[in-house]
Amino acid sequence: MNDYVLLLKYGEVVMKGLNRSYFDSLIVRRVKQLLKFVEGEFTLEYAQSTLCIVGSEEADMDDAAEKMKRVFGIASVCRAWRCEKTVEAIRATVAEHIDELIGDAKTFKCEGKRSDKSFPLSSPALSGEIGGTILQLKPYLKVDVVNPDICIKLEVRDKYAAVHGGGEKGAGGMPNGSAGHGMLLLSGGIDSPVAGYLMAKRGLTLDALYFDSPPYTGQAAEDKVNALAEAVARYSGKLYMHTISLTEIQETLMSSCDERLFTILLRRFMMRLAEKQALDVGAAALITGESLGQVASQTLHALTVTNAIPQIPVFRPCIAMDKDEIVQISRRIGTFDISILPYEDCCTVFVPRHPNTRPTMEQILEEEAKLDIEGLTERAFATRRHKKIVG
Amino acid sequence: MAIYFDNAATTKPSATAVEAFIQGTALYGNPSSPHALGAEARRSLEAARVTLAGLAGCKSEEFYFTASGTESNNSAVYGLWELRKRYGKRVILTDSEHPSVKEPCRRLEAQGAEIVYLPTRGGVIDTDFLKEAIKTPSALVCVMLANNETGAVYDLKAVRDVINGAGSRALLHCDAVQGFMKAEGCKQALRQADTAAFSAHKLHGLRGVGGLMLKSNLHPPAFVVGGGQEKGIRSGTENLAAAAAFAAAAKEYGKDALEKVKELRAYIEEKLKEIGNVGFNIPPKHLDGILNISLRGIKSETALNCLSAQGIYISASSACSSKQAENTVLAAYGLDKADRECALRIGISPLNTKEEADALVTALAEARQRYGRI
Repeated sequence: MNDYVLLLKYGEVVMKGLNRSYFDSLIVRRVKQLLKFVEGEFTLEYAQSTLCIVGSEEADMDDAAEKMKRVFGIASVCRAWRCEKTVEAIRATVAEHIDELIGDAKTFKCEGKRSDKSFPLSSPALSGEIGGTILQLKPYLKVDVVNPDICIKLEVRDKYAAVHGGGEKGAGGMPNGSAGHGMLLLSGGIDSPVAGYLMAKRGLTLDALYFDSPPYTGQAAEDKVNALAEAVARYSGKLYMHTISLTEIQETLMSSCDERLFTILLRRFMMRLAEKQALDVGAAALITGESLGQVASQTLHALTVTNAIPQIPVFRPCIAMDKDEIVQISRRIGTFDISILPYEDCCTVFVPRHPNTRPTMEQILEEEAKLDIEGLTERAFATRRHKKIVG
Repeated sequence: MAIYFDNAATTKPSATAVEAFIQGTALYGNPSSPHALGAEARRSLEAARVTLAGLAGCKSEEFYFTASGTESNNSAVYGLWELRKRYGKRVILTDSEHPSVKEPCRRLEAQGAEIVYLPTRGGVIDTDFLKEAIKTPSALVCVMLANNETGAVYDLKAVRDVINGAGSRALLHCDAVQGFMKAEGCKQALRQADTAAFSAHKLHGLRGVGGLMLKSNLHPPAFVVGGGQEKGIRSGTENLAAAAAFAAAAKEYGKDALEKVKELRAYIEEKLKEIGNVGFNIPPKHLDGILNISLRGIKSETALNCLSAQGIYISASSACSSKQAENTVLAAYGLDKADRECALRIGISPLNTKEEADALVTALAEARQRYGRI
């Protein structure tokens, strides 16, 4: 046994109790989904909170490792060599792969970790033994136990030993689908894809809802939102994208209501439609990219009146984030460059010059009394279209 | 059936061009090969070169095939800079140049180039500004033959006179991608330039082939190096079939085509005047094939989406949302923000008809009436 494998170390799920196997099964399901898109055959072996992925000879392990970094529930991904659980096998494995392990490092340390206590050497003894071998093979190296260029990990597990140069950070969070199903209000902006990603990270599967406003918004804007949904789906898994047209609602609001309340009235319609669509597909929460005070419709007063519409919870994971924090995440997950493409979306059409940042429920209800809320909602709902998005 | 009025973006390949392309694909020999099949291909390539050079007013040995107008512009800017950077670090270009000229010029800043933008307010080169600017030793002046947004035809003769009058050693590059075969006095204008860039797909040829005119006394370092094709100026096996189609399309874009476009433009202008409240952003000298208007009362993007839904295609050449970068060309032209927000570019080709023009103007009027609210 001397395989190049990927070790996926589980994160928060290890703290689960009797329902642990449910969470584990969701991780395995997601791993299998992603491996379908990687060249080669793979087998999975699970033991000791670690999923070991063994690839066939032609398997693209680098691609597999990159994809595994998008699996929620995984704390770290290690590219490792697996061998028999003997000192000699470990030594031989290190010797065989010494160049790949060391790279251009000048200093190193060995870190043995013996979870099988029946193994004849203690962890420090194993570290010393293999460290000596490495020094023989690469005499120019220096040992630095405090701040080494590379830390060679020697794991002695129940069924095998593994050697690697440390793990890469996994996606963290909770397995896809472990927390239920949410409806993401996806615009063309920077915040909403980040919000979707963050809630998917906490275990929600997603559907996405996009509001367009033809002809004020066009195909290019819709293509952009589809691209954003695809980027989010790379993490969340496949999702359904629903599109609802707001043209009639926006035109009616413009002609019948106080311009200063336009955005907030529109947001309330969005909430009505989003909840309706969520319930229609069995989603139990709404997700928005709102951040407190970022724009006029995201002040506490404004959120109070929009929040009054849905009966199901609204998750706003960006609520306490600064814009640059949101941008940082969007860059990391690959949505930023799509978000900044310049097309009108329904939120940039008919922007009031002086929006009311402190709307009251009385003002809103007074304006809404002028409208056929039910009729407008129903007619907008009838425009919806659906599309499957695979990340 | 699509009604296509976005001919400044690209054009539908003409039947003649497609036919020439198909014939060209039969000559599959490599023009660099010494055998008979190669020679046959070479002859066809050279025939295309002779045709295009004749139309561009240069010698055939001064015309090189490239893969696009963008590549030609890049090659010219980098090449001319290398030839003249010893004499001056200033690079002068109009404030309405295409990004394929602007961006390589900006890159030269890293090599110490000082970029100076030459005003083109109202679609006219500010020669007084140029007279002052050229007093500082300059490497390169870039002036396009015709602007892609407004259709303005710039006076290259005047630019050449200023450069020569100042005794400057600066070289003159002309982006002729929009203006080739379309601008009045195109050949004479191009004779003023040291290098010029061309593209086939703007005149019913195919994408993927462009041209570079390089005066025979200049020997800039090549931008694309390799097998030494195109006398080492542009390596890479020549796209013979597309080059043949380019020549066929350019030849076809003659007086009749220009007359037809002129007539159609006048017709569209008249029709637009009838619907009223339209700003005509027309420079004194312009291409008939580019009509830039401000359809006051409706945002460009809304108008474009409306027309697109009906299968009518034009271009919105404006800053139409708060997120979009400012359209610097229309700002340079001197258009105010309100008129920029509703600016549309109608690209007219000889393949368009009066019936299509009627449908276009009707659709614009209806779009504004139904969705106008600026």
